Amino acid sequence: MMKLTYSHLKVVVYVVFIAIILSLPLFLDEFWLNRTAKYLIYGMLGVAISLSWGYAGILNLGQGLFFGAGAYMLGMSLKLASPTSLEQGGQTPIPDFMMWNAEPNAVVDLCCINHVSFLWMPFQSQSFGIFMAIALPVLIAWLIGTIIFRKGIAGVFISIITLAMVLLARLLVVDAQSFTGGFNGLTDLAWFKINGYEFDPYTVSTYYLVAISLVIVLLITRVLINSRAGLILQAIRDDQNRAKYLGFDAASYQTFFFCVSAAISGFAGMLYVITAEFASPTFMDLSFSIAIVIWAAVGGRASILGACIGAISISMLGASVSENELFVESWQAILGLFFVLVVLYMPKGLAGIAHGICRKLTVNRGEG
Amino acid sequence: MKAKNRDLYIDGLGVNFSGFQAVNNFSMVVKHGEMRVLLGANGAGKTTLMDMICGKTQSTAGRIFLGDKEITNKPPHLIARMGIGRKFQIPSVFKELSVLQNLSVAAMQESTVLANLGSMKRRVDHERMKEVMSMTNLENKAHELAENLSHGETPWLELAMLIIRKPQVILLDEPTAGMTADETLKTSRIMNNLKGQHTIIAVEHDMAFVREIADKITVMHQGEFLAEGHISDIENNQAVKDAYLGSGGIH
Amino acid sequence: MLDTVFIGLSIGSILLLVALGLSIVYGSMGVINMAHGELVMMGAYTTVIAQTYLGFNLFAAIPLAFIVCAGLGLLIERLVIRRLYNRLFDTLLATWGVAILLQQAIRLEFGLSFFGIHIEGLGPGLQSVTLPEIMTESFTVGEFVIQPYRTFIILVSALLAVLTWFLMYRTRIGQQVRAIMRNPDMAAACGIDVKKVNALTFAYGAGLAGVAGVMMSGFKTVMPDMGSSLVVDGFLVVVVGGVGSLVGSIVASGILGQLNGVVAFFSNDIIARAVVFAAVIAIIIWRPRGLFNYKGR
Repeated sequence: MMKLTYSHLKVVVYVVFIAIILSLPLFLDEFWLNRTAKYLIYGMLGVAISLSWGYAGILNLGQGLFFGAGAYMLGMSLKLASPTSLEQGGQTPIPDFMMWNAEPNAVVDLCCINHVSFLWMPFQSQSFGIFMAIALPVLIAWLIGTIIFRKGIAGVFISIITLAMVLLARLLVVDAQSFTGGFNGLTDLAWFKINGYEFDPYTVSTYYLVAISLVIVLLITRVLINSRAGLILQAIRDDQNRAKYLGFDAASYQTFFFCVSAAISGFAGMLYVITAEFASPTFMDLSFSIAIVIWAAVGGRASILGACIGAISISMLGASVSENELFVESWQAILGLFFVLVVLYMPKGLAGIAHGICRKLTVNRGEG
Repeated sequence: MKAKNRDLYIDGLGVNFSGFQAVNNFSMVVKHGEMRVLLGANGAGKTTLMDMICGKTQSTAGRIFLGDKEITNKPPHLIARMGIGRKFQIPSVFKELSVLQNLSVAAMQESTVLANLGSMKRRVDHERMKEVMSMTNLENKAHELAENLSHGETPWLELAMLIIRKPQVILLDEPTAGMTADETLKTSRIMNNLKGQHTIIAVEHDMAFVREIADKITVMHQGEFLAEGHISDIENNQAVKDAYLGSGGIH
Repeated sequence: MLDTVFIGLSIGSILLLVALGLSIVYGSMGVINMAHGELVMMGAYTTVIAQTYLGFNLFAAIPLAFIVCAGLGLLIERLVIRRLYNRLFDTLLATWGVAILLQQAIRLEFGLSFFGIHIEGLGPGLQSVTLPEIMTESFTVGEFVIQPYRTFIILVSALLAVLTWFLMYRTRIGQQVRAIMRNPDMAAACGIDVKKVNALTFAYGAGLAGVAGVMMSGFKTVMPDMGSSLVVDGFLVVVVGGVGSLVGSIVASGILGQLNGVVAFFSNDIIARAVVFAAVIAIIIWRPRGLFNYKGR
């Protein structure tokens, strides 16, 4: 008879979680599947922030920057592929907002309708959009890592800098109307296509696209955490200097995993624009980035699955409350209060409590 | 002295912190397998010297050689890879990892991220782990979280983490600080076991401990070299006595 | 051209007002107060309420806001910060939660919205403050047109900076704060009541934020989220200036304010923010510990 150990219990939890999300289409209709897909995407953001914060020790207060970058990159491709863009009268597709903002005698072509529109040209290829959705966040993360982590700057200032970046990005994206669509963001998008198959956001196939992506991200992240590099990363989180004096270049580990976290967030953004059919500067709202941190804190920052489930459940809860105007504001207040309480009394989040219970269960059966 | 025989060669090392000369024109040679103790009053510059050797502090003058390779002002992780191990005054271990995990991290063969993306299951030399743990009185604590170790066990873990890497030179900053007499005895046994295989430089104040383990003593005073020799030479050295005048000599 | 310099000075002086409190609290306690911006917001709302219900003008609101916000600060320190002294980084998160609570308190009018009661001056909408007459008319001195309100702000910040310097370097309690800054354990060993001094320090920082709020209410629309980005600006000043350095905060806010003003003159406010941010990054790369770092090695 197999002994029930703590690690067995962990595997069971993962299997149950995966089974649940993969079987939801049996119970939900297309509208609810679409909504659930969005929550799963938030779950992916939970994974990203748990990796960065719980394991690498880098609290990114501007996760929305990576998420938004991913969304906009694919969004640009999907915008160009939409029927509206193709019918603007030029040889090349042109986003409608560029037409509205154009000078009276501008050339009706994507290359030159305004002085930055040529940057959109490569996005006519959806693959380029997909590539950039991951590459741009990784590039930004890599820059932050190489420039800032190396300098041994205190963790709090890294958080402040990421915060400043997302605030700035929000302003810049809204300001650059002729390039990004400004305040309205990118709307009226084509459906995502793979080999001719179109992903209608309100179908089971799109749901599985998201669900399976989440499973893959979860598993890859787990593998990374369980690797030697993952253990070294946690050592660096615990005592950066000790790790350095054992021969590890702490900054390179932090940068690597920060980039992985950014890639996951970019990927989540990409999936979001496919599912929600828009990309908006609100992705870079401060409140959204902070919400992600709160989800992970409540779920358990040092638990990949914990942060994932925390993100999914709290965002679900928040959405169900948003029907009533008054409740929206008080939900925010409740969330704030809960956050303070979690930080004060439950620093390891709900997952921490669950881990404690699991350890007791497995110890009581004679194992440990 | 042949370069081959010396593990650590410090030449005219100095560091100036915005006008304050913490260490000035300090030179020292340490032979392979030697146990050298650094003595000096607080503020003499001993810890600063160690900081410069392991790369924690940048020097502003002079050079340091490990064997025949220069390590002056290189990044700390490179110096560690080249063969210097440092144990700090305030024990620093990985608190949320278990003893076994702490040692696994210390024992990693490769240091880059990409080389370490493989699984933990391979490349853990269990025999060596057991050997080092029993050397440092930690045999029964393999799965204990480092933060739950007792006050005396934490420095032993740190020592174990250094030993398992087999560094050429080990720097110890007050290895018996805050230990009970019993713990100090156990620590001196660990250190005597290491003699000969490793080169050790230790900063210490506990003279009984120093008498137990030291081959040679270097005395620092106000950031400069004061005297060097065997314990009997040092105790009879007039310059040393003068420096400690008023504190009743060295006990 | 001189106008631009003047505007730069006034932007800098507001930055300084916000950064002063942050700098002292972070420098001496290591506490990261993310609710600082909301305390500024509270100061602004105090001005609004005082004007609506007590007929106070701006000048009278200054001491009132200081007291109200210092009181809030004491409360926050007692209830939240005090439990986190052994894990200071978590103060960032906890105070963020407090910031959310403070914002929502205003939006929900301290809960009274639920009962259908509406307090004028609170709520999610915009509020404004009328300036005393003496502040609205610009006057000319020789060739220069002087805007009295901006001048007033610069004067108030200068005054508060001097006051803070005086408190820190010329009083007993300031000495104690500086001792705690250098080495809290030693300070406690010397008989300093670290808990009490920390609480007072935090309250003072909060009071300063309140005064900043009064100043801001005079030229910015008062709304619940007006404080959100201020804490970032404040910390950027602290990073550039050097943690714990009063002079550093003054110089840094001067430089960043001036830079903001100059760039905004040539393009727009947003580009100015981007340039200031880039400058902050550049300075940190050059001097990771800030311009004036007293902590030595």
